[in-house]
Order: sequence, then C-alpha cells, then structure tokens
Amino acid sequence: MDDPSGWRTLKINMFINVALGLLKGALAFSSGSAAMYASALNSLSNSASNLFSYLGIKKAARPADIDHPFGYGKEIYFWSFVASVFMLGFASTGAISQGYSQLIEKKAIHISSLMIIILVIALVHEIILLYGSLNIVGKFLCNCTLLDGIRQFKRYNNPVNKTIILQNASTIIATAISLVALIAADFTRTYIIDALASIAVGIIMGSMALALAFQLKDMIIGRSCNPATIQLIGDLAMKAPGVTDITDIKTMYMGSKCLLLNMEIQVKSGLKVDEVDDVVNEVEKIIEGNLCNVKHINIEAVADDKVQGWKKAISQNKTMALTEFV
Amino acid sequence: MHSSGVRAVWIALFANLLIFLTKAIAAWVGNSAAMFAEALHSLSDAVNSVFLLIGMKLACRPPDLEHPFGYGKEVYFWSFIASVFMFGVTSMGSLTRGYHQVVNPHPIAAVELITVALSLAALFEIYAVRAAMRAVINDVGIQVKGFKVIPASFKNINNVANPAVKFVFWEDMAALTGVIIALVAISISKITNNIVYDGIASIVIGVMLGALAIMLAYENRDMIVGRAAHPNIIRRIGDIAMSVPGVTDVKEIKTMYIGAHSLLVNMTIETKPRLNIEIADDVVAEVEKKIVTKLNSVKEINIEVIADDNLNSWQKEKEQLSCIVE
Repeated sequence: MDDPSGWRTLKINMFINVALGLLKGALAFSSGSAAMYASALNSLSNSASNLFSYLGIKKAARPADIDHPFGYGKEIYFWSFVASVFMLGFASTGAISQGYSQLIEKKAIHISSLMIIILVIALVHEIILLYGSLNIVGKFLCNCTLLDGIRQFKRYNNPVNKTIILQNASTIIATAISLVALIAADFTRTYIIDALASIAVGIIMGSMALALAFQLKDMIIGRSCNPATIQLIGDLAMKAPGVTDITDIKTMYMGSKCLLLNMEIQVKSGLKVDEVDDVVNEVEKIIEGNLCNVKHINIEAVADDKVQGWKKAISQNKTMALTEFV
Repeated sequence: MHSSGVRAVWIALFANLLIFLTKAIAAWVGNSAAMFAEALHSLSDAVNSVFLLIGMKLACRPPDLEHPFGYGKEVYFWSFIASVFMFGVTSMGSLTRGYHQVVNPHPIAAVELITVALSLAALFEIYAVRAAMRAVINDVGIQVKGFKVIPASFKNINNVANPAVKFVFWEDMAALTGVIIALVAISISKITNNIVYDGIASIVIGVMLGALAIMLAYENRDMIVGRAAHPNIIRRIGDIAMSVPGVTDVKEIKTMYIGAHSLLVNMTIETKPRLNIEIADDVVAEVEKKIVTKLNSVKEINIEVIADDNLNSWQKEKEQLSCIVE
C-alpha cells in the first residue's frame, strides 16, 4: 500500500533484526545458553515477519483485475497472518522446546560479558524502534488517554505497523528477560534460570502471535469501519443537496487503506434519473474528498419514504459508539 | 450452510478417523515409516474435516454491526488453518520420519497386517476418488459413463468453477496415490530386504502432502483476498438485468465471494435519463428480485442507477467475458 512510513520502518527493522539474530545465534551456540537461543529466535522471527509484511505490501499494491474487482488489499492481512503463524510455529515452539531440553539436560553455560553487551545494545535499539513506530500511529491515537489509546489501537487497520508495534513491545520484554536471566545465571551459577527464561520468552512470543492472529482474523473475515466513521459518512452524504435520508450503510475493509462502502440513500421524490445521477456523484465526491480511505462506493438511490431513518440510526449508532469508546 | 453438506463432512471425519486409527496401529506394530506417513495423511484429512466444520459453524452467524457482510469468510479462514496444520505437522512429520528411516533404517515387521490395512484403505479411497470424479463431471456438465469418467475428469479438472470440487478431487487422488505408494514400497522393501524404500516412500508422501497443503493455502488466499464470481455467472447477472424492462444498459458488475455460498454484487445500470426516480426504484427492485431468485448464491446486492450514456457497454463487456472463458 502507499504507506511510505510503514515500509521504511519495515526495511530498517528487517536488516537490524537479521544482524542481531545471527549475532545472538552465534553467541547462543558458543555459550550453550537457552535464553540467548530464544532471543536469537525472537530476532530471526521478527525479520521473517518483516519479510512477510513486505510481501503483503507488494502484493496488496497490485491493481484490481477481472478476477479481483475489489483489488488485492486484503493480501496484507493474509501475509501478516502467515507471519504470526510462523512466529507461533517456529520461534515460540523453538524457544519453549529449547528451554525444556535445557531443564532436562542441564548443560553447563558460559556467560561472557560480550553476551550481556549485545543484549543491552539490542534492548536500546528495540526501545528506539518502539518509540519510532509509536510515532507513526501517534497521529491515529492522538489526544487519547492510555486506556482509550489501547482500545483505539485494536481498531487500527494497518497490520504492518500493528505487527511492528506488538513485535517491538514483546521483543523488549523478551530481551529484558533474557538479560536479567543471564546476569542472574552468571551470579548464581544455575542453569534453571536460563532454561526458564527461554520458556518465558517462548510464551511471550506465542501469546503475541496469537493476539495478532485473532485481530487479523477479524480483518480477513470482513470487518466494518468504526461506528464514528459510519456516522461521518452518513452525515457527509446528508450534506449533499437532494439527499433526504440514508437508509443503509455497509462498510468493509478491503485493505489497510481501502474501504468498501455500499449505501442506500433517499432522494426527493419526483426527481429524474439524470438529476439523481448528479446527486449520487455529489455524494461520492464529498465522501471521497473527506475520507481518503474510501475506495469502492456503490450508492443505491430510492425515492423518499418520508421516514427519517438516518436520525434514528444516529441515535442507535451513538449508543454503540459510546459503549465502544467510553 | 446446507445440512446435507454438514452431514457429508461428519461422515468423512469419522471415516478418516477410523482409517487413521487402523493405519496408526499398523504403523506402530509394523514400525514402518511409509505406514506412519499414511497414518499422518489420514490424520490431516480428519483434521481438515474438523476445521471445515468449525468454519461452517462460525460462518452461519448472522451479520452484525462490526461485520455487516456476515461471517461467510470464516470457511476460508479455517480451511487455511487446516492447510497450515497439514504443512507444519503432517508433511513435516512424514519427511522427518522418512529421513530417519533412510539414514538409520529399522526393520519393519507384521508386513501382512500392514498390507491388509493398506488394501482396506485403498478400497475406501477408490470409492472416494470415484465420487470426486463424478463431482468434476457434474460441475463441468458433460455426459460420460463407466471408465470413461477417469480420462474425462482429468481432462476437465481445470474447467471446474467450484474450487472446493477441484480441491477434493486432488485431495482424494493424493490419498489414493499415497496408499499405492506405501503398498508398493513396503512390498519392495520386503522382497529386496532393503528398508530404504520404506523411508523413501515416507518422504514422497510427505512431499505430496506439502504440495497439497500449499495448493489449499493458495486457493484459500485467493478467496480471502476477494475473488470474483466465474465470468459465466457475471454474464448471467448482466443478462438478467438487461431482460428487465426499463434497463437500457449494464455498465459495471463487481462481484466478490463473501462466503462459500454467498456472493456480493455491486452493479451500475443505466435507464432513460428522464425517468422518474419512483419508476427507476421499481426497475431496480425488479432487477434485484430477478437476480436473487435466479441465482440463489447472490446474498448482497447494491445497484446504482445512472442516466443512459448511449454506449452499449454491456455488449462489449460480454464479449470480453466470453474471451476469458474460452
């Protein structure tokens, strides 16, 4: 999708994650530390999921064709989902099984100061990344309290940025756990802390992947935009001269920046088809001008039935919006 | 979802579970890798049915505010999960088991038991393949009888419009081929006293399962992204609309599957410019009624009316659609 900020973050993330993953992996093999191994898996799975996101962005950008008249926008949800499956199946289970075998086999580990330094560098880098990616969605989450922000974040529909933020947050926690575990293991000379840290990192990655997968599933099935946007669409349409009422608005995200909108409007009875045509065009122009995400609009115009459906719908929508956002 | 379809899935589930148990016992007693791969194959077929049932169950939920187009795509989502399971668990399992058998062969025992179990499975799979071939023939709509069904179904498999029919055909073919491969490999292993063939068969079955999983995932990805109806269906929709008095032209038809048996149709029709909106209303209602009664898969329909531009767009569109079909 035409999301330069999302793509740039992705590319930088990918290269740094590959480098960190390889470095951590080498250190894990030389030291025999399970926590380091889990941390390496974490970095590698992050880079893999960046790659999947890249694939999704590329494939989603293809223009609509006869087999896919609404475009390929949903590719981005599909590939982000594949990334979360990979995270769960490869990285999370890998870290948990490594921790488990460390518990059973009780291999000796040699912790060097280099490992600690690498993990500290990784931690600092990840905090910077999280700060950067939070800035991207900052516009979306503006003027919210923390709790409100979390609720709004759930509705955020760009899965690439969402993946990165969730990933960064969980990576910070995972790296911190590995770091603390390594220092503690060095002091106490026990392997158990190392093994438990690996299992904990695996569980964190797994639950992050599941949380992401569940949210993506909703987008895959076909999710509507939020009630406030629906209300805005209706209010904008009501502004067009000739529109007397709105009877139905159905929306579905067809991609991170692509909303399908099917609506039914009522126009003054007695109008001719060519006049209605102009009214409909005006409505489309107003909506597209104000909401750049709306890409596919189909408007069915019917004669006014003298019932004020939209006013009723607004009051309904308001209660809905209130339960969602307050 | 039709209750007969659900029953067929339940029957397939129990049949596959039964075959899985038979094969698993034979694999355990006989210590054969090929048999193990075959057991995994049946397990993945059974798991496939389970996910299909989950998908069908979740897909029938009515539309709500968050999902105004319903939950129909759940079927594709869960089918995708089944393919992930197939790839990650059964295909990988067969490959690793086969690899171990080739590198570090273990003698196989109870060849008679394995042969009996595989022969029984083969009989069942032949029955399933026969049904799948008939489904292909029915879908394409040609008349053949007896053994001519076999070449006819292979020749026409790419003309099948329903992706489910296509996939079941390949799935059943793979199941039958798998059983035959295992049977042949175990016989050769017994005759030549070389267990490597047993391992090779397991690897071949694993590769086949992996290919099938990727095929299933690819098919589902297309449906998740938003696939249009077959050009023949689009042509019928347009022709039905054109047959309604008052419609002068059909400008655009956009379709997308929003579930296994539900199609979203967004279309633009043209009427005489000086037609009253009330009359245009009736025309639109008539078009909707006709399409919904003649094509019962159409569940969502939105028709935009514009004034006639005196271009024969539908004629041109129709020619284009026939080109694609041919």
